[in-house]
Amino acid sequence: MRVPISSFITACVFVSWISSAIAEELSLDTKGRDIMSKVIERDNGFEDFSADVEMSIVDENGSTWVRRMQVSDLEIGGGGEKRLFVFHYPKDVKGTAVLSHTQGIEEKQWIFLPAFKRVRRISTANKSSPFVGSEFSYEDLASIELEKYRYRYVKMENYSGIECYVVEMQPIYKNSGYAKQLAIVDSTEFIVRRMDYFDHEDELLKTLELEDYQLFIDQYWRPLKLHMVNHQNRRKTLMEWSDIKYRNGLSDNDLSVTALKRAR
Amino acid sequence: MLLGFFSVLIIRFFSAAPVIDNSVGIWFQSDDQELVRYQQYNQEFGEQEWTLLMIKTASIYDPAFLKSLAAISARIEQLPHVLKVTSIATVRDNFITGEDELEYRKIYPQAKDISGIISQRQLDEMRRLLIANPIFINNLIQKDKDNFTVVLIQNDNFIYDPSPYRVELVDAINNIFDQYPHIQAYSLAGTTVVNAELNRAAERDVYIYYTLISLLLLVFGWLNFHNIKDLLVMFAVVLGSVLPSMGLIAYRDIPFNMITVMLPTILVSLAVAGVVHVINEFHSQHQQVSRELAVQKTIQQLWKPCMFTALTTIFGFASLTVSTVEPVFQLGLYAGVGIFLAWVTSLTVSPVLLYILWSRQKSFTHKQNAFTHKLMNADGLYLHKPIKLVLFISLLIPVFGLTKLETDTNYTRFFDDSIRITGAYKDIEEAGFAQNPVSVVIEYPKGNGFSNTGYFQSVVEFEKQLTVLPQVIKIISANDLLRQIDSAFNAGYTSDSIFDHYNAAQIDQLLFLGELSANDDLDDLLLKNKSKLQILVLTPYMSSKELETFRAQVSKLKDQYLPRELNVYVTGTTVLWANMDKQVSNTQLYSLGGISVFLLVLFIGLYRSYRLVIVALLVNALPLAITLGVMGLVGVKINIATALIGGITLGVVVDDTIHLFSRIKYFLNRGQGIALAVENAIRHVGKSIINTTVIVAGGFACLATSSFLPSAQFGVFVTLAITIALVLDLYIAPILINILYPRTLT
Repeated sequence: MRVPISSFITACVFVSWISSAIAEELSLDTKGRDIMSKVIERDNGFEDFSADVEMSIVDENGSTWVRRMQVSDLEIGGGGEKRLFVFHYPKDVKGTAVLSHTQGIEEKQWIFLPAFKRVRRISTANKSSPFVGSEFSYEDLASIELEKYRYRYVKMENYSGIECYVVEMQPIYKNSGYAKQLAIVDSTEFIVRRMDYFDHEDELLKTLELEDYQLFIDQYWRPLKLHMVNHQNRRKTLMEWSDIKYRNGLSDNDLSVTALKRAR
Repeated sequence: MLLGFFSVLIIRFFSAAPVIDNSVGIWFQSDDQELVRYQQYNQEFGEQEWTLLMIKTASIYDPAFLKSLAAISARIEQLPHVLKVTSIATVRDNFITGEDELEYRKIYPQAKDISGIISQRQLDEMRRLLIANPIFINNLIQKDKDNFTVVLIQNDNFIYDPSPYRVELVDAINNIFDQYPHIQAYSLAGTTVVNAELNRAAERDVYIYYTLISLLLLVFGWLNFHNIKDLLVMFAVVLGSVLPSMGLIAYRDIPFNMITVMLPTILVSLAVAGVVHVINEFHSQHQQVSRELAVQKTIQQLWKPCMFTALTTIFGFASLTVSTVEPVFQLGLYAGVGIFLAWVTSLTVSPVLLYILWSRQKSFTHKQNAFTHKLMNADGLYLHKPIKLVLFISLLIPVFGLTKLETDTNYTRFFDDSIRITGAYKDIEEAGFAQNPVSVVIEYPKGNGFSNTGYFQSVVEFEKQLTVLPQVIKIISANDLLRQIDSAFNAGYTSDSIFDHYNAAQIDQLLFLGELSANDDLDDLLLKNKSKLQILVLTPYMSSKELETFRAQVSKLKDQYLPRELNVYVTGTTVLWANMDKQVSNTQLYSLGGISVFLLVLFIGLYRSYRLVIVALLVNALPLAITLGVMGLVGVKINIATALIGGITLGVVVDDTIHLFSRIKYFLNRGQGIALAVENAIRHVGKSIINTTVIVAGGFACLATSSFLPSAQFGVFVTLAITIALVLDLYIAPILINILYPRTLT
């Protein structure tokens, strides 16, 4: 059967148009992934750090309460990390500690209650649940792991006078509280300036603004202020980091389950 | 000006602003102590109230039912103004997983296949967990009944919001169930539902009342006057009084509520009552004299009685303005304005219109009052026997009935049986679940909160005692939730008695663990700063008296088990409504007292004859006394609407007496004997009195159609009082006058 020339040309044009569209889509996905890959890489190799954190939680009526804790973070081989929170303030939670081990999409968590002198493993299934009553969920506090998301470059945007990439991130792990996130990434330093979180109805749920970035050991940018606003329940949480120290010589034993009971 | 008021009314009616508002805030003055306390509690605990949804089904442990329930719960939670939905398909508990992890998650498991239906093994486990947790028993489920379950809905509680969000919420929930026809039955209860029904009833009343009163006006007008001209005069007065009053309300953006919705109906009937006398008198005069003179003589004859009847009616309504219940105040104020305008238009506009419209006499026949003639038989002996009996019975009713009259409010009995909510409360009661959550709030001193060891242990004991009160079906407390957290965290190392003796650090850290596991149920019961604890007490619906008893019992328990420095109070919307009883009783007392004194002074000033004053007082006090006596005998309580009966009734029924006695005095002053004066007075004003009674009674009778029972009761009993007053004025008053006046004066 002979195919008319015009049909053949139409088919070629159509195929090439589809191909270029697909190619463009793939390139946007790749670009997005590349950008976030650089963000993650920026933060790799720190070995360990510790810091004091003050968390101010503001409810919809404007009432504020404060929690203070010490955070220790240890990089482990294979792209994971261990993180220890030891609470100091208020008095009613002094000495309580939470330890988390993350390896890829696997995560384990333990809590120590000094009043009972007992450590208990707690479930991490509910990643979207709030961390100590704040607007930060466990999911928000976990570091970004490349394989946990699907990426897509959206556009360039000027954010507070800084040229930024806007990258859409779709969680591919189970039990995420978000349908997608929009990361506004500084195009020069590859640090996240702002994060918008969207719920499963695709409505804007929260916005995180990362401010007062400081450079530590000439390599690692760390925001000293993280301001999370929940647009739907009108609550806010401000996290202020201070006394940040890198490479303290922390080891696995310092952030182990047995070390929890010694945490002060 | 009339056009202006009419425009305002129309604009208001079609504007986006709510026309009906029965929200909690409108019933109280802003400085009401209970309201202030309730507002503070409401804001601190998240401005929410609980709506109870009971579902009846073949078995709550049927996997297909559970799948539907999960879907229903999710859909309800998506509705605007719904904050949280707790059902057996959404409720969470503390678990130890297979990997020895502590997890706070739903009891209802995820189905393992794509059908979404859980397996029998999962179902059995779920049932075991539900029954094992005492928090769920008599709250969401019952141990021995498998075909009922309760869904607890936490929704917004905006005290001052006039928007119909509660009505919309109830409708939305009903619509959701319409899509699940296999659900046998469901019952919705709670203050949200009651409030929604109040709004719905008010809306229904608007259409029914105004239709009925318009029909009544037309029918009455035609039967009475048999011509369009007099009908026009009547409508002119109605418009001249009702439009400005309602326009003023619309201009001030005051929405209708259950009380003020009655206002137009009342105003129409009272406005017509006045102009009927004017029209009848004009035609009576016009038979003998020219229309100019007829108008003159009509005004001469009627200006005084019309002025006094208007005054007494205005005073009757104005006496309600002492009420601290805002809707009652509004009714009193705007009814007073309307009646004043009716008086003015009756004596200005209507004579002018009559003059313009009636250049020729209307054919008019004088009927001999044979009935009156019989009554005023010179012998009179045979009248004394029945009169004593009649008076005796008339006094017996109040004597026995008034002692049984009491103030008590039960909002679940405020709607007739055809209204869904009435059946819902009965069904929930029969199923053995609570119908009403009441909050017992414990306030801790500054710096020493919930977890203080001494306070914690005493509150545990207080809660135990609270649970055994006869009215209490269940309590939901933060301690119960913490106990569950403790059992999970310290499994194998704890017990109830160990928990009851925990110290502050242990309690604080269990609270922290709850926070870490996102147990937001704790936030509903304990403030973040631990300065206030709410114990949710689930009871059958309590009337105001029963609630008062409960509050006294809680106060007693507080004195026995809690340290003095802890402040305890009972609050909630039902508590607020129950508190209105005091204000309602005061309203009745003050309005009755005020109008009684006014009438006494008026009668003395008007008649200057102790005989006439005695008779006037008797024939006006008796209708009210009999009516209140009947209320007591049939078990009708004094509530927000029936409390208005006293002052309004006295102000209205006295009109007939004033017209009658004024005419009697007129004839007496012309030298007639008492018997003849009475007979002539009845001949002249009897028909008008009967006509005005018919229209006024008819107007109040329209209110009896309300599905809001207090309004219906108000309509029925005011109608009864007005009817009794007519009988007393036309039948008893002449006989009493005849008895009291010496024969030498006849």
